[in-house]
Parts: sequence; C-alpha cells; structure tokens
Amino acid sequence: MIDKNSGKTADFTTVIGADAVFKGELSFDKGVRVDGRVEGKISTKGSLAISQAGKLEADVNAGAIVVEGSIKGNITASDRIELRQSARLEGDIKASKLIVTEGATFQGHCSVGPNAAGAAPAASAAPAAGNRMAGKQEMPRK
Amino acid sequence: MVAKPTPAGTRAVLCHHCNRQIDVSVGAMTVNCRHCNRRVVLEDLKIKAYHAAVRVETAGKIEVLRKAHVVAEIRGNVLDVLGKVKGKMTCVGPIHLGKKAETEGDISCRSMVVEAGATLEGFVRIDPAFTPQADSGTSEDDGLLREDAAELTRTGEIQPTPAPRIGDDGEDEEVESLLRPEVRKKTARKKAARKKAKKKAPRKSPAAGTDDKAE
Repeated sequence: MIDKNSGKTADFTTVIGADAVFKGELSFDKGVRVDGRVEGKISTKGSLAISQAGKLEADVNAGAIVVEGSIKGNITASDRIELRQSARLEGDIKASKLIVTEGATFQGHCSVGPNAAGAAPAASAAPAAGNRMAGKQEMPRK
Repeated sequence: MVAKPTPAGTRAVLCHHCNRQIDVSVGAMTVNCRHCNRRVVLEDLKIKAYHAAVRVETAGKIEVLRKAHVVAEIRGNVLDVLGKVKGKMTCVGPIHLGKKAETEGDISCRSMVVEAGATLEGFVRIDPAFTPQADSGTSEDDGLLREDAAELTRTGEIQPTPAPRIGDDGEDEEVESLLRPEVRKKTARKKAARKKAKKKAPRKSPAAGTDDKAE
C-alpha cells in the first residue's frame, strides 16, 4: 500500500495498470499511480506514485513523487520526492525535499533544497488549454 | 567473497587505505594495517564546530553535529550528518542526513537515510554492493599527508623533531647530500666561514702531536 505513512488516501485519479505499456508523453492534472511500464515523459501537477511493479524509462515532472519501483530518467518535483525501500532510481533528482528510506538504490545527480525547487521547471508550466509555451516558464512567486 | 570469522574480543574492520579486512581489538583506537602497513584510525569522531582539512577518515563512526561545519573529504564506516558538510563523502555503511543537514559534494554509500528538510547538492550513489576505492598511495597522497602533518604541527599536537647538526665530520657528508639544495648551500657557506675564521685565528702550538682535521 503506497499511502500507509501519510494516513490519508491519495488522490490517484489515474491508474496505469500492471499490464499496461505506454510510450510517449503523458500529462495529467491530478494524481497518477503507475503499476505498469511507461517510456517517454510524464508530467502532472499532483502526486505521482510508482508502485513496486512499476517501471519507468521516462523523465518525470510532478508535484510530489513516491517511488517504490524502478525509474530510469530524471525526476523533478516541486514539493517532495520519496524513495521507499524497494526504489531503484537512475537519473537526476531535483526537489525541495527528499526522503530516502534505507534500502533504496539511487545513482545520479541530486539537487535538493528550497532553491532547487525554484530552479526546477514548475509543474504548472505544463501546457494549459492547449497552448504550448516552449522554453518559457513561470517561476513561483515567494 | 566469504568474510573470515573474527576471534572473540576482536572486531572486523575495513582498512580505508587498501580495502582489506583486518581484525582489531574491540578497544583499539588506531592500528597499523597488517596488509599495507599504514595507520588506520578506528575511533569514532564527533565534529562539533568548524573544521577544515584535506581529509577526515576513520574506520569508525563520524558524527557531524548540528552546529558543525566541515570542509573536507569524509570517509568512514558510518556517517551521521546533522550539520553542514562541504566535500566528498564516502561511507562503507549507512549515511544518515538529518533534517537540518546541508551537504555539498558527491556521496557514495551502501545505504542512505535522508530526513525531510535536508539539503543536498552533488552526485549521489547508493548501492548495496558499493566498495570504496582503495588509496593509490601516489605522490598526491603523500602531499595530502604532508599537509595534514603540517597542520597538526601548527596546532602543537605534534612536536617537530630538530634537524641533526651538520659538523665537519666526513660521515656527515652523506647526510648533507640528502638535504635540499637551499640547506646544502647554507651549510657550505657556514663551512667556508668557519675555514676563514680558522685561517685568521693564530695557530695554537701543537700539544702531544694532536692536530685539527686536515682540509
């Protein structure tokens, strides 16, 4: 169970099943839980959870990320990234908070702190109403 | 690789120079590695304030307390970081970063626990099969050891041994040849000055056939 520590049920509007394989760019507004395999890019404003069976070969951009499976790619979170015991991560991390549980495996560049979140491309920069503003990002106001 | 069983009253420790297992007494503070014959520090270190060095290494536990600020390469068996660290961190065992920890530098370890609120910047490698690199023992390392020794001498922890006086004996010529060129020039000048002074001074009447040394 992914949310045993938070004490409240996560808002996982979208669930990618264990037998699903996606290749491409995926964008969501709310929470996503990945039990299957995704290749490409994932961006969401809400939280993203990769379950133990989940395998990602993608760059991820989300509000909060909880990893219990395997990821090959860069992950960026505006809030926090949590690597659980069974997490396997190969890629760079950018987040304002990082929680690593003993047993997690990680290899890559790490940039964690309140400034790192500002430097990371915000999740709200995802295309809104069909308009894509490539290369232009809104920095969150302090 | 099967670890050798350790006899009672001893503990197994990994030498941080050659990465080989050595059995040491439980209460030992330092030991000479029987494989590479280099000094291995075994005691746990607690850093409470600002500390800048080339390297801080031990085969025990290193604790960087909350108000501490370490600027050094850190290597230990267990690392517990509650303060600031600027430098590479290598750990055979687990690394724990507290919520106020701030690290800047590469981290390599077998397992890591990071609390929410910690700040990290650098390349991180968490791998249960990680084995730290053994010291190559190159001239670069000698330079590091020399710097550490100089620092310890400055703080008064180690008293420098006085250099041997160079006399006019022939056997001192061997020692002279080992000296640095500046020191050799200085001693040569002193010798020349002594010879001049002997020439100017009136000769004493020889007593019982004893003579000064020939030139």
